[in-house]
Amino acid sequence: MSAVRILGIGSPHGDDRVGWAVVEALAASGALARHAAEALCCDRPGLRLAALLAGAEHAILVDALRGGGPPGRVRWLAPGELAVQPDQLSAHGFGVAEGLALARALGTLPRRLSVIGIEIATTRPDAPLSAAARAGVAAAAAEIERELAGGRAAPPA
Amino acid sequence: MNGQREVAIRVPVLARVEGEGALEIDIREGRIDELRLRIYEPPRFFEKLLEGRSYEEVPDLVARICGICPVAYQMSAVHALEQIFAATPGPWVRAMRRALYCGEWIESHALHIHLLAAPDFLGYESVIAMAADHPDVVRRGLALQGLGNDLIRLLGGRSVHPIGVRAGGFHRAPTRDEVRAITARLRAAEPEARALVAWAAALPLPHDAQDFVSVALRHPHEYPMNEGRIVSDRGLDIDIAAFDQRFAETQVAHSTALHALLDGAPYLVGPLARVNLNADRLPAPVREALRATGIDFPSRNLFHSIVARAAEIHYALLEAVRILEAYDPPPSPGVAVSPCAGVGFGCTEAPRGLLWHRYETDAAGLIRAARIVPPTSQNQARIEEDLRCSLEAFGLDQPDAALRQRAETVIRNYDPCISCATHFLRLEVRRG
Repeated sequence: MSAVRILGIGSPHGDDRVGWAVVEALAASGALARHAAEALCCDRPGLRLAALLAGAEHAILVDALRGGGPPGRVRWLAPGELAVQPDQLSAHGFGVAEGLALARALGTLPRRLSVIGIEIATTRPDAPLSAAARAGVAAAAAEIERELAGGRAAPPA
Repeated sequence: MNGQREVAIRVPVLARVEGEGALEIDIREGRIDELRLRIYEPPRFFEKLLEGRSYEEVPDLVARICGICPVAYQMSAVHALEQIFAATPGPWVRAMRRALYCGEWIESHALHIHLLAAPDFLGYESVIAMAADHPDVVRRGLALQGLGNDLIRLLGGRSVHPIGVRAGGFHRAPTRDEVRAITARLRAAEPEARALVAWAAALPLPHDAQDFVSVALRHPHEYPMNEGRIVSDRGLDIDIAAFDQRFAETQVAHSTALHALLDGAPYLVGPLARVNLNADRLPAPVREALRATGIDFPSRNLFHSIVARAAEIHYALLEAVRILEAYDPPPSPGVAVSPCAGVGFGCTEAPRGLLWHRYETDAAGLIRAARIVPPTSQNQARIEEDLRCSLEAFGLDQPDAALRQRAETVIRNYDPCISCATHFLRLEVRRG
């Protein structure tokens, strides 16, 4: 089992694929092999997120973000920045924040956790990645590789 | 507080149900004056969307109605289409459809028990809060749900909105190794499922016996999934094609989902109705696990639904193992079908209950008309009836917060999938 696990989170809808595209970029560049990291593309994992994180020393989650910034901008999120709305939970409403909270309650949260958001503007079904999203993917992949090389400390989980 | 106050309880967005709805209760002179389960999620017009589409597209389109029970929609649809085309896919397809359905019952029931229902009975606001005190229970639930999803993936290609089903059979048969691997996991999970039945029965469930009509499919030899006649505990016993003669869908102003009535009255579909009507079709290990709970089935206590759900997980695991142990890859994963004009019916047991479909095709197999009656719309009138009974038994002089909590517990106990039926919930209580 790899100590570092990268989860690209997304859906097939347009720029919501950026998380998957980062995993693909890291695989294609040889970064995963160089740093002995494993990576998965996850389609809206919901409740499965806790299981997907179990056993990793360091997990890096990459997902599309709508945080009001310019499309393509890469943001490393602090743990408290993702808000859980517990009284709204259903299978349809179980997102990354809820998945991380459940993993924390179950004790499967990795010792180190990095959550990276790439700002996107649109999620049109079947649309190719926009130029801004492609730029965000390249930037995020480069930042993750620096992280893997020890160039940047991830905030503690 | 006394019963003479005017009280209005409003739950503007009901939590821990799938979809968007609200609840409004007006209490006047110590009695419930008005009670409305308001379903305001916009209608999705799936039936109209199917018109003019080829029969080949139907299984993939109807799977999109629900991310939790897509297999049910596929099963009712392909059985209706095969009836029109006089196609007989044979025993391999029949067995694999049953195994696929087992996967969906396991994941859907495990999700409802742990994510939506159990926090009510144990006093938590969410599964996240419950997980901190009951991590092993939640881990077991998630493992069962994941196993169900993997079984769907085996035959459906993926676990959400599967794409492996077609009229005539499947697009692909799994390999022996794939089947062997998941069969071993299903077998290993059986003690966990048996323990879940005992755990569910030991929950502090409210005691509330009610008079209601159970409706489910009944098959001569099997616990019902894909085939059978529609029966009730009041003597109903009809072919699925005769559904319209006894069941009527009506529109009510406060809901974008239709209400369904049997001979003009509310009725129950789902796990408790199935167990109430088909306990004798369960295999000995499941009957024994149920007997050990000390609960007598048929049960008049709707809160025993969670126990019925757990028993059906246990059953589905055993049934999937039984089917898959004898697995042989077939020469072909299905038969060719020849489209023709006609009318066909499909009625199968979705995790939440009876799911009835009717299709009319033209000579080329294009859909001329489609009707889909999902379980949640059938249970809607029963939920409103139950809320009146439950809240009056609970005591209308209880504080608003307690009334609201009980009302939400009653609704969630039915595992309503509002997205399916309209395709979420607000409680408003007014007292007077």
